[in-house]
Amino acid sequence: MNNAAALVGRSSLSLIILIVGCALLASTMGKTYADLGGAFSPVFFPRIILVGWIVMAALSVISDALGNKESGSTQWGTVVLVSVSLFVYIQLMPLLGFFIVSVVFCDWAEKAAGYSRFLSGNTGLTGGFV
Amino acid sequence: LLSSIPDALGILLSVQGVAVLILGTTLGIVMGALPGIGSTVAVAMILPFTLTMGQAPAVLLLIAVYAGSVYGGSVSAILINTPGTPQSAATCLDGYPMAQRGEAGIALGWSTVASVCGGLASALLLIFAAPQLAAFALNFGPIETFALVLLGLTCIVSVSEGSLIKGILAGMLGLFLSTVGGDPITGEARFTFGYFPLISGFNLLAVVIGVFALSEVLTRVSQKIDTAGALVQFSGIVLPKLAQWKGRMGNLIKSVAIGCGIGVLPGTGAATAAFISYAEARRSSPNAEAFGTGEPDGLVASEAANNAVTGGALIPTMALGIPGDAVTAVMLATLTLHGVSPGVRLMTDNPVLIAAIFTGFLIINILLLPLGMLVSKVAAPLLRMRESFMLAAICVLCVIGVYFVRGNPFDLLIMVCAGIVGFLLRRKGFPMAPLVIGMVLGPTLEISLRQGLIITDGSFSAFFTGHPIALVLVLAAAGMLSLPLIRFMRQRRSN
Repeated sequence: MNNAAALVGRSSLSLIILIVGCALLASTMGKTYADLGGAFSPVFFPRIILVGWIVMAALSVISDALGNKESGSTQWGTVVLVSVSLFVYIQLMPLLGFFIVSVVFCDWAEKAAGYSRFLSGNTGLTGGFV
Repeated sequence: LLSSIPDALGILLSVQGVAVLILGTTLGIVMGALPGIGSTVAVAMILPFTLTMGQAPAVLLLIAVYAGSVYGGSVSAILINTPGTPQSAATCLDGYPMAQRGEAGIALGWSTVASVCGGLASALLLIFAAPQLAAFALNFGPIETFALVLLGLTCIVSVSEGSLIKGILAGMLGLFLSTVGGDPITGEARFTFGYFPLISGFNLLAVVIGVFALSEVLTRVSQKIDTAGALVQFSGIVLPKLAQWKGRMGNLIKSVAIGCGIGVLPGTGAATAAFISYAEARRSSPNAEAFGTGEPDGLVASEAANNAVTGGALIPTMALGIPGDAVTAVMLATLTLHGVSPGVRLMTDNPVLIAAIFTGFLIINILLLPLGMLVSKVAAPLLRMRESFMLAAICVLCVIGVYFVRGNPFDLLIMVCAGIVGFLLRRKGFPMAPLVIGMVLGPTLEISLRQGLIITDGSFSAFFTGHPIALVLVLAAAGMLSLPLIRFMRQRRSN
């Protein structure tokens, strides 16, 4: 059971891509688009691409499931916090103006990132450049 | 091309032209020196600010940022043992030990001169080789163009670091994204699902900035890596004396040749060139045992090669419209956004633009010497900046860049979504360059395929019977795709 969950976990993104690809291909099959036939059809090229998408996504699901490479540790909380901040930022900017929202975002995003390491990796470097 | 040089010089020597060359190179050096930005993010961040410029200054600004950032990466590689760009990773090996010995200025001097030599040689190669290649490609019809773009897309194989399957899948995602919106032949809306803002398709600029710059920000905040830097003394660049070059010229010439050669191959990249060149210099050097402990030959090899790649990578981009890596893909995206169709007719249809780009590229590489000496001294204290502040600033710059071009909040939404999706894809090992390459080449591939099929009455096999060039190009594409498979089989046999 745990193995099955781990398998799905490893290939979850490829699985989502596969499902989206299938749904998009299915959306081209209805009567939504004009049936002009062959290369004249507006969905002629997208269908070729979507078939390729589905084949490659299926291969990706298999390769993810067979591989045992786990992604490195991710600070999900930080990523979600920064992503939500970005969404709020772009929603508020057209309403409240660029300057105030950007200053608040910079301050908040710095705190949300949750760390203040220096690019130099060593605060002692401050006096290092003569 | 030669007859267009006076007009091109007129563009370059105008106030805007000079400002673009100086500002672009300066910005490139500073952005390249900041770890975490890199050439692709730097070029993607600057891209929206070019949209109010003319075609030539816009592309020149991006090329200046590109060339400057490749050089700028060496500043942090030498001073804090953290390559500002992946291309400068090999520079750390000998640059940082020199800096630890108190020779940071000398190390930067070697890297500056080697970078300038590499960049200049590649600019000359670009000027002489690209027109020949473009002249050959002039006779291409829709069928040959389709085969050429197909070959270009197979460079996805070479830029797919890690997984070939995921690289091709990312390319497919990019190709699909390019089909959203109006059909180029019938005008019918595709995959909009009744949502009106999608009628004009996904904004290329927003997607490029999202998948490169914002996804990089999210990737950085998702990991807490402790970089290990130490105190170094740096009071400015000290250029090596002529006598010190004795015995090193062969290494410089060989490294430049390696960089130019690798640059022309789509997808191989400057980082590969730098490491191959470094390995070759070490193999052939009488001081092989000194490599890794602060040997100037190691610095010369990696810096000359990685800067020589810049001009080489522009050859297939400008002559055939095939981007070899993420940076050149962004440049082609810029041309598209400026109404210039990338492809085999690019040089014929826009001689002044191309002459300005080529001449400007030569000037940019000359400017690297004085600006490198000046800017590296200014850029060094910037390495004290808090990374979280830099990442927040990148987000704000991305928002400015995308919003102020069209004032459309929907573009911002696309950018943030592209950033989050890009982060998730990168985390699972999907390379981002194929996605952008697919998005840039998608429209040309679609139109040439459909035109070709209309010409041949729907017969795909007729693509190859009467079109030997197309046949050769498709075979080359098949060969490129099968290369990783052959390599895998060989590896398995040897194991």
